[in-house]
Amino acid sequence: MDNQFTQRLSSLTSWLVFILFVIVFLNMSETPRIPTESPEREILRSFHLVMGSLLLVFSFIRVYLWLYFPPQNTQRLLPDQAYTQLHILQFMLYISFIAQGLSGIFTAWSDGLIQFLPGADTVNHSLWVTSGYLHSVFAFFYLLLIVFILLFRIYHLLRYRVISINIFA
Amino acid sequence: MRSYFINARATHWLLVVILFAIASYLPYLIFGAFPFAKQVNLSEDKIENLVKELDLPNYYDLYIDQATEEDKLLEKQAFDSWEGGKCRFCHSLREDDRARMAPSLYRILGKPAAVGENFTYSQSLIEMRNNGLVWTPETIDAFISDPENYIPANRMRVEGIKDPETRQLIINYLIRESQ
Repeated sequence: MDNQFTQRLSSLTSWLVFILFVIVFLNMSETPRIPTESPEREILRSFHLVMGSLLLVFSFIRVYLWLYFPPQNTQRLLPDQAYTQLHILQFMLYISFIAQGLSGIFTAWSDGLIQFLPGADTVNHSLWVTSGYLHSVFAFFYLLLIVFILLFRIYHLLRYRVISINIFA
Repeated sequence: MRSYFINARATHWLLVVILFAIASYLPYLIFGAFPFAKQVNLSEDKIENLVKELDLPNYYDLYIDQATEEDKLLEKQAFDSWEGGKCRFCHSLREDDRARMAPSLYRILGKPAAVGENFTYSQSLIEMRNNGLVWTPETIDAFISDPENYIPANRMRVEGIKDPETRQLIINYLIRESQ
């Protein structure tokens, strides 16, 4: 892959991940307010599974591109240490999306919501409890990462006069 | 990517570790979730022993359904809605369902506290069970009016339902839906 193509692909996957994240975040904020066992809840849950799976796939692609073609510091005024700090947080953001997706698959599978073998009894309460807890942990983790990325962006703007609106790199 | 690891200071990774540690605690703090299933189910005999001296009525047999359609709707709203009790967001009332975020409330009346199958109860609720707490309309009413005050350090992270009418609607709903 040539450099220009990789850059475009990286930028495209970043925006796709950002859009999917916003959709999943809105879905995640709304779903708990809908009573369980209602048809609306079932629809929102299925939507969550589909969008969450897409987010997982595109996060994988973004991490692959990041590892083989890491973003470069194009801001002259931003010191390397500040750049590294921010990009570690952004890289961990994608890692947390992947971990979130994997724990979500385990949660849905152990609850019998998704089945890879038709008719198989996959309900496992212990796995559901632990993977569900981790699913929640990674959600809080990426929310905290986003808050800190925004704070660093504001700090860089004030201290180094460097502006960037893309929190997903 | 290698350059990140070379250039990164320990403080860069320390921030990530601190954020992850905080995130690990938040589901427990906010939702009362627990990361492991460690419930040891009580046998039927032990559950029976906890209530045998109390001579409790069978609340479900005594129930006479005189509720109008409007009453039933109000009861359901009190149990379900975000503005009401919010009970449905964690509790199930189906006979064939298992305890997930919270224990199933199917036929809860007349049962000792903390005896639902496969649910990891807080130590405080288990102590209350050992001290003789049994769920009756009166104890449920007292509990949901101010959970933290009634059973300190329990893991039901909701504010109490201050309106007595809403609490009564919820209790009626628990009985009617478990028929």
